[in-house]
Amino acid sequence: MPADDYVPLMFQAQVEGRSQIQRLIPSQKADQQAYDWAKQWQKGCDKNNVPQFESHIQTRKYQFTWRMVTNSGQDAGVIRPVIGERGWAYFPGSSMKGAFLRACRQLCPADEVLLFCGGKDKDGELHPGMLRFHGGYPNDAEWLDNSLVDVVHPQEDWQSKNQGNHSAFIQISLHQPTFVFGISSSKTLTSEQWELVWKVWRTALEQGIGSRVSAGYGQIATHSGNKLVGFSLSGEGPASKLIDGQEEFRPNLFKAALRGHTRRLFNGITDEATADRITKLLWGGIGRGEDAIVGLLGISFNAPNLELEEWQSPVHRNNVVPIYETGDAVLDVLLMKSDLTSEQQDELKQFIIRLMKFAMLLGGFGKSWRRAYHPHFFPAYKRQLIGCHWEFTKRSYPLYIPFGEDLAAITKFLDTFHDKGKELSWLQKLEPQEKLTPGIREAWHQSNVQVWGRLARDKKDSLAIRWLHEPYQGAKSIKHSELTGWSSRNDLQPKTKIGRIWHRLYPRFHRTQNSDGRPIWKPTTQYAELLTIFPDDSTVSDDFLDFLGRKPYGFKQLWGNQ
Amino acid sequence: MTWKLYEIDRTAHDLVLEFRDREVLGESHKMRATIAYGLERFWGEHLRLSQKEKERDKSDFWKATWDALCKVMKDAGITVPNDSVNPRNTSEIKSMAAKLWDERVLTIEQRKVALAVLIEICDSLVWWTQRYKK
Repeated sequence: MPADDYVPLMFQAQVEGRSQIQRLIPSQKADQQAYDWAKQWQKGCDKNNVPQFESHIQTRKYQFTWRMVTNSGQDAGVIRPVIGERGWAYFPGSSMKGAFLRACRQLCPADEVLLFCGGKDKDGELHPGMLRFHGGYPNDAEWLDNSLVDVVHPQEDWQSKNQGNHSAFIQISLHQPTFVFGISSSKTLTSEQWELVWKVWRTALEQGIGSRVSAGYGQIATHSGNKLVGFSLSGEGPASKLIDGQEEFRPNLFKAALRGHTRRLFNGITDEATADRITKLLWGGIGRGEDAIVGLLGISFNAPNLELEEWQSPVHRNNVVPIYETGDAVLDVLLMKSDLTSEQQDELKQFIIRLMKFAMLLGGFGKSWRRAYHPHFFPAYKRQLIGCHWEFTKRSYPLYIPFGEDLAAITKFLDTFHDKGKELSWLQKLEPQEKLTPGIREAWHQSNVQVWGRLARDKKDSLAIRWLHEPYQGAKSIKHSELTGWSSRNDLQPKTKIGRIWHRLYPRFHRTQNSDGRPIWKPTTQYAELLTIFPDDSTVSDDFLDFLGRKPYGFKQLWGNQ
Repeated sequence: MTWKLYEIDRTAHDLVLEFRDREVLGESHKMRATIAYGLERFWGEHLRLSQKEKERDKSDFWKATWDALCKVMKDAGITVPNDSVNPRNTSEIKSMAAKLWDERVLTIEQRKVALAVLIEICDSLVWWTQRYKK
């Protein structure tokens, strides 16, 4: 082979025909140049020599709950970590100082900020800071065994608009690394001062470091200063697969879901441009210049007992998919900016709680989120793994909507969810909506959506789940229709179509009081079986709504106009 | 042997003056950093940038810097390959890349000299950029 074929991809021209690590060719699975590139890096790294800080440098170790990326900014088109000493991933000291300074300003008085980080004093005179930030390195070579190639796949337009464009792109990030960070001081600090320094650094880490922190990247397990609200929950469902087929639970799915519901809600309240704007203000958004926004909110997910397993279809032996069980986990919604008043923070907190209650009531998280988890509610169905199931765990039981036999509490919640959305007008003036913007499929508005529900006595008592696979009445069926959508069908155009119906089984909880009057939440075996339908003008849709209108098996409409 | 002026600093100054109104001077920092990855990576950058309409000016800046390198090297008696390449034509790209790594075209010594000169050009570019950038 000629010499130029042996050249590492990093040293080749970043154009087609040579190095193309940013290109993702879905049909090629693991045969992407990004994997070759990562392998070259993993092989080139001197794994026997863990970078050590000099003895005068103080160090502390922190583990990241999911992926972490420190964009080098070197390869336009590829997001990848900075490569430091002897090929080790590195978090630069300069980035460390930036994060430290931000946290220091929140925690410490101005004179201490000046002492630690330097800057201009009151008279405008420049002072050097005492602290030196030496950056961070992984604490051992374990990160080299993990998949560094991380596919980011924004699907917002595909899901909530008219199946618009969506393409995945490749990013190189570290999976659950433990980093050692080093700080030294030019003057001797007391041990109390060092404690303060590390407290500030911990606070800085709690706000996330590196890129995409609002989607759960670069987060450690605790969030003391910037946590808006935390949710205790657990979930099961199909896990994501990286492009090479390796399975992974990807916590960025929470942000995607909450962001999607935010957009649905505001598309039902105001015009499209305003809804887009609010969604961006809350969750951030990319774009050029003015359009790029750091959102107010971010997420961090910590599931210490998460397990990934494989599900194999008993009827199609080669249908094997990864599934997750998160165990008791915590989802923290974080405030990414610190300049809000306490009233605004509180409003935002109430908004997030309602949004999360909504997501748990009618949707799920991650893949197949529009369907109830078939292994729980329709165990006889064995062809595919469909759906997911999420529940609040003990500390968040009070977030369950306690409903009676008539499910009226659910109607009330949905009314509130819609009405209260308008109260975020301090964020952005809401333009009154004259009529719904055409092309937005899932706008949350009385005229555009119907929620139907019934009480199911236990998990075997789900009826609607069968209607997705069998006729609901006589020969009438919604299977593989525009209403239900379909996926991966070679005989249909398009191959995958997102349906207009969501199905959920929402646990029923009783709220009672203990002897000293404190509320207690008691689980029952019952569920609210809920169908959320965004009707179109098709016969299938009309027929099905007619059928529901006759209140079969206790189904009745809870929200939306008929 | 007499002292020969290659006027690398003047070359860099000319480049900065030529490109300062096209809002691309920030690229000179990237150029300096890219040298760590060698000649091919540096050369390839103008091709990558040329594929996006809005980055055409950046592409021109990288290519002009490469041309400047080739000229300085030529004055010194070393020919650095500089084929005109269509970014859509893979075989042209491959053949140019091959030349840059081919001992018969450019010896390792010559490559080292070329990189040293390129570093000098880019250091000067950065220096002038810091003075002219708006």
